Amino acid sequence: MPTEIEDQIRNYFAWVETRTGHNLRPPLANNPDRDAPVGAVSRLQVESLTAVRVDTAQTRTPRPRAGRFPILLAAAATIAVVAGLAVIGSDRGESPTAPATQPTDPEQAEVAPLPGWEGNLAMKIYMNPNATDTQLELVDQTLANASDLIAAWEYLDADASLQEYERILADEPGTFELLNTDNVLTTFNLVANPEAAAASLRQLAAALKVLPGVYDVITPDQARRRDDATNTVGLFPTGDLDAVLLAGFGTPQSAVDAYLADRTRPDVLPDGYSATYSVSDTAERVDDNLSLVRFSLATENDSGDGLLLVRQVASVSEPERWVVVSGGIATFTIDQLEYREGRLSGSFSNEMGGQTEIDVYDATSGERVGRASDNPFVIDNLSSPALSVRFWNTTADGGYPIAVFADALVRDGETVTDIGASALRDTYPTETQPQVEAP
Amino acid sequence: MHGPRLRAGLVAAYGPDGGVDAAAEALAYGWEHWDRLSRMENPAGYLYRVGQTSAQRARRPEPMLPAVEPSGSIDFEPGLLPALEALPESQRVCVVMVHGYGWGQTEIAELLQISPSTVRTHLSRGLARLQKTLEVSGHAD
Repeated sequence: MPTEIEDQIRNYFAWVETRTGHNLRPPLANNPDRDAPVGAVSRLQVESLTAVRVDTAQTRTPRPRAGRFPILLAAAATIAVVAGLAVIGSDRGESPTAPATQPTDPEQAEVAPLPGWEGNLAMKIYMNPNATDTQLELVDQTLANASDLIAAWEYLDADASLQEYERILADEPGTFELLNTDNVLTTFNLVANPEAAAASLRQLAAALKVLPGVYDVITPDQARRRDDATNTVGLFPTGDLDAVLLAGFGTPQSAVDAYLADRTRPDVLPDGYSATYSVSDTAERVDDNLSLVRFSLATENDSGDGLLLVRQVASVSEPERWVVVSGGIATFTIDQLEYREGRLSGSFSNEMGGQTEIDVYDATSGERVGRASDNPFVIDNLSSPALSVRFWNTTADGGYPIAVFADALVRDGETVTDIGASALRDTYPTETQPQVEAP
Repeated sequence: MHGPRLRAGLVAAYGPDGGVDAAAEALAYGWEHWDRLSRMENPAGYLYRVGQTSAQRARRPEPMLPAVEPSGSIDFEPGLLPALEALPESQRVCVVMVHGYGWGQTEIAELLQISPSTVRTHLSRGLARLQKTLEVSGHAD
């Protein structure tokens, strides 16, 4: 019998969810059903959708609405497959599915598009992974009805969307591995009529957002703002990951999951060292925009529990998006980090002793820009606006192998103190503290 | 986008049968009137109200939360379901959406058209009340 009321509630309502036959959880919530959400479009269904093909051009122009649903769906499916193949076969940096009609805006032309936004896309509609065929039809119909605003659109199904993310995330293979056909958001890419008024497009976006099955609708400007926010407020991800933010970090736990997956990639671990992790099912809200998530990290010879502080970076009216801010294993604390005039200095406390390695990354590009192993330590000649500082300790005093880390973000001109799981536990009120169990 | 959240909220408020029916009615209403809804700032909150009205009109016999069949296949205390049903609706919705299904407090606040801090209050009071009720029934055993 579970002793915690929360666990009992979770058990009972998981059964209720099965009984109703409906998904009752947030999109991509980190729960046991994440890989196979209730009501999700199965691989078989996707295949049956894509199996209905007609030969058609890659892009479409709206036609009169009556009687065109089946053809539109089939065309969408074909376009998705063709677009996906085109993505694979194209050179990076060029739009493989660039529509024939593109608005020309000299001001926009000066700004390089984010990956995935090539071809003067005016809007992207992200569909829930479990969106039904009927919901896809409704979006299609809505776009057909908005022919005065939308010149062309294409639908990327799960397979085609995955291929697109593979292209966008070519430099982030660890992140791409988090996505699969069951959890990826499928996408409608929209090109506006050149004469469409911005206000009308905003109205259309608002209308599309409330359709069933739609996860979010965003414009290039919104994507860029999210990209900037990602670059400056989180330890992970770095660089352009708007699509993955939408797909993978809808909950604090999924942000932590992605973060730990990146943190334990074989190529960033010491030679001959491997680590696995697990993430708590629940997050403790410490305020509207901050949550604590408990995790466990294990190696062949050691295990430890820790906390990560996760911040919500979306505005209230948008779907939640979470990024990891700081945290680590409970026995490690970063006492101080100071980053001024190109110099990063810091000190830390590690109850386990042994040797700690410090890796410093540019928080925007993810490139490693410095390394140290002293305590206290100093690294000079840094120029990044923000640094992600990662501490690893894999060997305790006496050579005993351990699994200890702590990470923090520090911006230019900033001093941060008391970072790490032990500090987090002391910072927040008793009722929000997860109970860290002994290994 | 709104379906799972709307259903979760209404299932928490009115049980699986009443909640799913109410959500279906609300979503059907939404489809029919989406021109009007699309101009609203918070269509999910509006549809939740539509679902509430529908559920209250079609009040079902107690108990709202069905027993698990076969009994014993799911791990929870026997007093949990009556204790949940005895909670005020707003507390029950917050507790179930957060701990049953993992929704965020901001999302719940938008659905119920209340502030996130009110959600937190409902959540903590609901859990405290459940704890107290279950402790009492546990002692009675």
